[in-house]
Amino acid sequence: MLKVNRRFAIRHLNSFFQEIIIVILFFSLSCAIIVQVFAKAYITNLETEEHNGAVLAASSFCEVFSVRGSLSGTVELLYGGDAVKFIYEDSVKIPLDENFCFSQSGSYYLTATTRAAYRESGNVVYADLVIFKENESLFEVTTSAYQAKGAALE
Amino acid sequence: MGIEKAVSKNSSVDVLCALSLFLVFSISSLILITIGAGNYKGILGETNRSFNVNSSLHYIINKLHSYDRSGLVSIIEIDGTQVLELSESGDISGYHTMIYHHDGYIYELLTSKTLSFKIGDGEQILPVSELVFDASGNIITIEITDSDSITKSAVVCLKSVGYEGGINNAQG
Repeated sequence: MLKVNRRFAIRHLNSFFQEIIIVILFFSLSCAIIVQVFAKAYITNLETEEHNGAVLAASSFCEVFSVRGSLSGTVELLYGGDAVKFIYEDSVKIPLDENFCFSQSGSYYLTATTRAAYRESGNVVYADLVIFKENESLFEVTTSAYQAKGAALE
Repeated sequence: MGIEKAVSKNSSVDVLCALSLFLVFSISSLILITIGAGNYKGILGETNRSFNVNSSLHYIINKLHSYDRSGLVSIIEIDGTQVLELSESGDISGYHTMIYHHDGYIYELLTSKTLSFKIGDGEQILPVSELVFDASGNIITIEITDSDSITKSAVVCLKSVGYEGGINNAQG
């Protein structure tokens, strides 16, 4: 009788033990998936924040460029006189910090290249703007300013 | 008697093993739920904060663009608070829209120019910690600080000729 009871108890415990192991296995798998989902959500949130900042920085650049029509005038107004030294002929590459403000050691970059289209009445100056981080483009836009013949922009 | 004791001891160890495994499972579940809830709360807070700042900036930028006509935009100071005054034109030229920051919120009020205006009047638009306007020539810089003290700024160039820039003092 004792032997039967013992066998029954062991079998009962074994099935409980097996069930718990299966549950833990399932839990571990779910855990791994859930952690990945949260990590992805966090990364997406950071990327969204980066894109929002890049859009604002690009929008400010376009606003000023469309009125001033020159890289030097735009860069000086937006990022100060120190940033003007980053202008090379018809292009500029400005380092920006995580708040998209000018910083010598920034990890983000704003590049702009200008090109002119000559018209009878004046020039249309285009600026191709790219904001990127570690060779990954965050936002690209092209803006333009019209320069009437004989009329200098600000 | 000895066999009975041994069987009982074995069975206790098995129960203890199963229970401790169950305990580990429960604690792990609890930790995961706590981490998940904290993470979710953090992401939600960050998203809201970002939404408030970006929406406020774009809202004011769009407002400025839509009122970019000669003499319609001005920045005044009332009781030490900077107020963006956007005057209406045409049939409703007697009205103006006031946008300012007060008590942790951006406020907006469309009112008649003849009525007296007091800081705190109007509707709450979005919660932000600080709103600063800086005007220089036809360029207006908008700076918004969020609840985490992170400041974001945007620049608007007014194309209309009537705007001379600067911040004027006005009576409350």
